[in-house]
Amino acid sequence: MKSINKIFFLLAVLILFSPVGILLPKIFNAGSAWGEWEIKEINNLIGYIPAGITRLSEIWHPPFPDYNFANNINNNLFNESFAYIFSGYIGALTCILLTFLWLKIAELSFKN
Amino acid sequence: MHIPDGCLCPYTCLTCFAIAFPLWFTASKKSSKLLKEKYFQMLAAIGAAFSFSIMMFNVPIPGGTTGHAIGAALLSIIFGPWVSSILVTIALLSQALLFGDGGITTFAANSLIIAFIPSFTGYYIFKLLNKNKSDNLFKQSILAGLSGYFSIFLASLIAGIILGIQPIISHDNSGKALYFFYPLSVSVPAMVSEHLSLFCWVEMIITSIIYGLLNFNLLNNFFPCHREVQTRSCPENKGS
Repeated sequence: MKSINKIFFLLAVLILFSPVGILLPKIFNAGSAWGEWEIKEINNLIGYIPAGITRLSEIWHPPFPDYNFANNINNNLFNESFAYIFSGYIGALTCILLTFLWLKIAELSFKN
Repeated sequence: MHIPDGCLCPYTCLTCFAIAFPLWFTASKKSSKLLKEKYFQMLAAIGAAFSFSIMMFNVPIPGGTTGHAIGAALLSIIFGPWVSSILVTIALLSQALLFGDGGITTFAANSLIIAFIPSFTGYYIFKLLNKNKSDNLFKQSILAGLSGYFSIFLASLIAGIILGIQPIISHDNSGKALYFFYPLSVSVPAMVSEHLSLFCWVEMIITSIIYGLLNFNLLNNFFPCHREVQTRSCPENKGS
């Protein structure tokens, strides 16, 4: 199983470098992904907010919106980076757990 | 792009779920046959975590928007397209539930566009390009990268289309859009051009580098297992 440990280690190191993903957009003055605008940005773009977006955007409140802590004030790059790395580890762990959960359900469902 | 809640009308969302459910079912059935041993299950789980992690590395277009690689093409070369589609879907599920990256109503659409389309496109393009089973690792890595490149291109086109038809199929009496608001003439060029100009390249570079590293003989001792996963999931890879 030594090989698996090495892969885990590399994954952990990869996530440690993830703040590059918030640093690069800040350095190059880039906004959010095309189409993933916030409500204020939409208002600036077209002058109104489509009714469906207002209604459905409230349908789910994630625990770590935008990979940040819910009550974190984003001014501090250090806080944001810490939250980003933390989110990375939480997310990666969730993916691993969900994969095993899914495989278990699939194994039980397709028992032949 | 992870389509947020509110960008797709209910009809579109339901249609995507109707298409996605049988695909999820088929993928699960095939994957459970392939991933019977704990070792390969662990590799697959790490694959899902890897896809999630690589999606955190946002790459900016200076003064413009940001995007990221997916890793679907790489995962589908290693595990086959069905397993890869589910692994990326799992990454998308974590993103949607925990971080609000991508909506819940639009989850099936995101799964189809970000997981299934790139996985299958990447896999079959790699098979096509690698028909002669070249022994040259550098050449193979470039081919893997190219399949990564095209996997994203088709996905971006479909994303542009699915967003661009929203103002046509759902608007109120005054013509204002109820969900996504840019028409096809804006959404398709925007999505395709930003992906072709940058994000496809990012995917290509990451796919080719990691494919190369995994297959490099010295490092093969580092990760001896992936080769076996490859042969199991894509039997025609035996001997490559």
